[in-house]
Amino acid sequence: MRPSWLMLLVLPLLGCPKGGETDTSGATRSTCYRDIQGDLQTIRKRLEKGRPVEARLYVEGLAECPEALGSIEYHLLDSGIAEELGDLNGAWAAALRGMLLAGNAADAEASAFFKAAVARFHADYVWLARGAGTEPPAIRYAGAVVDDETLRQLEDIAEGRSVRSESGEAGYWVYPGRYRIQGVVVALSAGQAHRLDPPTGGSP
Amino acid sequence: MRTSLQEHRSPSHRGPAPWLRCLIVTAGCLLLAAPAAATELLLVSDVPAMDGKQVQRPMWAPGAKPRLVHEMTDRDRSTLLRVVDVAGGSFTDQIIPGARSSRLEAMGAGAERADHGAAWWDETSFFFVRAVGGDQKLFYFDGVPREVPGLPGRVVEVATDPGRGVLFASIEDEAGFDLHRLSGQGFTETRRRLTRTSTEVESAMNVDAAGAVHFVRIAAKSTKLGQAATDALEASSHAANTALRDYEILRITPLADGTTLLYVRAPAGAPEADSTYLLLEVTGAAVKVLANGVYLPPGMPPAPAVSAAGRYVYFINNDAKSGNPVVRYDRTSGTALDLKLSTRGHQEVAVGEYPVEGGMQAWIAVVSVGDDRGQDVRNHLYVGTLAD
Repeated sequence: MRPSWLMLLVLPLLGCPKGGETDTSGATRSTCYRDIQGDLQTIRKRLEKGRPVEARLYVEGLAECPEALGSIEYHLLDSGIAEELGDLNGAWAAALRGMLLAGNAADAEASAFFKAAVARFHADYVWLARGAGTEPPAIRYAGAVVDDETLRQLEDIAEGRSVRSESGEAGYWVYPGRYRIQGVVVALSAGQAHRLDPPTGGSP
Repeated sequence: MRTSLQEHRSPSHRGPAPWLRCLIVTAGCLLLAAPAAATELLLVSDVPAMDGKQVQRPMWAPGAKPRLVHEMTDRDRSTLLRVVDVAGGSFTDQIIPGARSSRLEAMGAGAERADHGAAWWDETSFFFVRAVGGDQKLFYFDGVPREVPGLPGRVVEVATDPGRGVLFASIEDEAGFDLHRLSGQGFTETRRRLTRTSTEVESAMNVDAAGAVHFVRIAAKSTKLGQAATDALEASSHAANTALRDYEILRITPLADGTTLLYVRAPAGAPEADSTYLLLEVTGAAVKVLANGVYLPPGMPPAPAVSAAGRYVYFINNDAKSGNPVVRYDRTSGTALDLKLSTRGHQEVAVGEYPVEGGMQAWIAVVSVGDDRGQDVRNHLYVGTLAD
């Protein structure tokens, strides 16, 4: 193979995200060697072009860099990408982290952006409060057409990967739709909140 | 309005339907009941989201509460779907978003889309066709739009049989426009191509109570009725009813008693051609003209509107001087009643029935020109209940 062909194969690989390289020898000093601003720009461009799957690879790569985690834009992009991919709980958590950072930095514009994102969640999705149960509730999709994103949201619930609301309540975000919860089919519409309490007795 | 109750059996001749001429001339049994007081309807399209947009294709949902979905089109021909819930004298509404991500929706995703052809699945969800660019895909909406994956071409139209878990879709692929039956998990398990017609188009689908899909097979110079039973391996079209062969069949409503209601266009040169659109009742080879001079909107017209039990048929009389009145035809008594609605300039009519204490309440939705204050001339949507 001629060298020019080799270069064609290798160059794209050099541009791929490879995860943070953290030097564990120093506890406080970050040694993330990624170009954070460059990666953020790449993420932004991928997102603008409607390629959130690619963008998420870079987000995951930056997640190991403390400097990135301190960037408001990182959380802004992380939240947007996760939401686009249907990872509503991940998007919510990133939005809350971003809102906290923006508040601490007195960044009014970023604060307003995150507040709007949080308000959209409350208006457009369904909040399932975890309720008093210790076991994951029996919940599955009961509509006519299921998709991977919905299944992933239900997997979060089955595995107890909850997030906290602004008021500290544990729960999960899911798409509106028809769900069978504890044996009962309910149509959950956008903006609705539902409490996942265990059955009070009797067979479902 | 010209309405006839006379029947016509399949004639042995071919020509511009002189049987129909007889029907019109001898329409002595036309009965038009005395008009009642005007029925007031609620304007449900005078909302900011509908500024500059026209209403079309209202369709009532099944279930216990009055709910409908309709299309709203702007001058750029982008089309959105809007769900309206009516309770008491007020309503709530929701526009079907262009994306599941509220972030993308807020950024204007899918603004150029054309969502159309809604077909209810249950009281809260429906299927519809979404066209973006040159692509047309089948979607399901139960709170967010969910794409039905893996269909083999451009989806043109969809009809539902929720009781049997079946969808019928007219799909355009390299082999032409054909009718497909989809069922099983996610509608991906079992798919059957019911027609293989490279030069004809299957359209205007409607499913009867037994699960058979009825459709119009459109060829270059003719239209035929087609049908496929719920478990058929392929669809059939039948030209047995020669009384229909000169007419362009537009839309179908199959009834539980085996009768089919049709909107048809009279052929040019026929004596009734000046009235253009007719409403026919077809039972086997027997054809009855329920009304001619029917008004149908441009483009694909809606299917004939009928009450759940099949007794009442609702249509619009093409009489601009009278504001295109909405008429209810009683198939049991053979009488036609001008509903005397408070609206004028009717374009479309849809009916639904919802339970109330002691029975069912009929609801009507009409697309009508102008708002209730005379401030614009767009097509607006009005809804209300009908007295018995």
